[in-house]
Amino acid sequence: MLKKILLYFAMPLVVVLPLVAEFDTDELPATLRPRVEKFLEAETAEARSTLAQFSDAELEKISQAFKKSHSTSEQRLFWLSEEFYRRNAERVAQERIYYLYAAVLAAVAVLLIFAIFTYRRARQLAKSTAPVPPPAPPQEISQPAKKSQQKPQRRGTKRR
Amino acid sequence: MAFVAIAVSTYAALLAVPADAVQGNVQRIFYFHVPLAWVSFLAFIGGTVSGVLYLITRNLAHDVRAVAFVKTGWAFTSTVLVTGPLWARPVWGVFWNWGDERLLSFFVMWLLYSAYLLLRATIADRQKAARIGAVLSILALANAVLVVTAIYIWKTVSHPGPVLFRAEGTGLANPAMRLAFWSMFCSFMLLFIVIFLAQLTLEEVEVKDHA
Repeated sequence: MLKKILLYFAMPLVVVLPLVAEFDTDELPATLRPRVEKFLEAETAEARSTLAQFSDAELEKISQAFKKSHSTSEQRLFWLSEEFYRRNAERVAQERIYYLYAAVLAAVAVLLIFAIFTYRRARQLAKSTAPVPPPAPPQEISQPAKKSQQKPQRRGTKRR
Repeated sequence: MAFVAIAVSTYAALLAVPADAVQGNVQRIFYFHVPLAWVSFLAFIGGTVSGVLYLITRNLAHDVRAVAFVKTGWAFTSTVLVTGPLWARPVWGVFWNWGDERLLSFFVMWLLYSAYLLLRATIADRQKAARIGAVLSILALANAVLVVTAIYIWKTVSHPGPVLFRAEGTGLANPAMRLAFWSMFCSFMLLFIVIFLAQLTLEEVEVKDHA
């Protein structure tokens, strides 16, 4: 009877104890385990600086193993945390894209404005310095010249 | 041709090249900001060399070249001053950091060249303006040297060490990123040459008019 009573209380413990226990790195692949253990034991600043060393696939494995070791309600809290970081990351990414395009447009605008000013000045100068056609010689009303005077001189003839 | 080259390089910088691992997409401003700064430095070197040649020979043709160099270089420097804060805001959290020696010396350089152009516009005597301009451009180039070496002298916090020529494993390691950078530099150089030649022609015409 006593054994049955003990078993009755022990069964829920078997289920609950793993859930309240700390994250067990044994769940992770052997290659990843030592790095995660080192990360967990490191100082805050050092741990933060090593965040980028984990690949996307490794991060997914770690987070999945961590989630499995927690209750459903705690997993929901992780969702909220993930949603918060996702929104924040999206906002930062959008802001950075905005600044990127603003910078590119500004660079192009400055150079374009300068080029336009140069072009306008060139046109103004071209107009002001355009060669003025020489005034047409006054037409004299005179009698038509004699044909003999207009004849071109032959080669070899000497003018006296 | 220069605009086509810039369009192709812009496509490479904004879409073809992978994003930076730490800064993300905003790092792509680098492909505009740094080449523009390099081109403006080359312009100011050209301006100072022409100014020194004028001081030696007193030939106004050198001065005309110096003015064209500085005018075009000033436009490129202004572009650097616009793109820099737009990159700094999302990365540093502020548009401008007065504590950064490189930023400060660059701003002083821009002010010096602005003063150069103002002086040139206000002094009527061409020879006198050329003489003062040449001396000022030598001073401004000395400041430009300070801009380049600021990261070594003061170990500036905001600006990192040299990005292209630094120890292995850092900087632009990706060949596509390097290609995009050099492509952008060549495109801006081409644009600079086009605008510079136009400015040179204008200055020559103005000098002839005054004469």
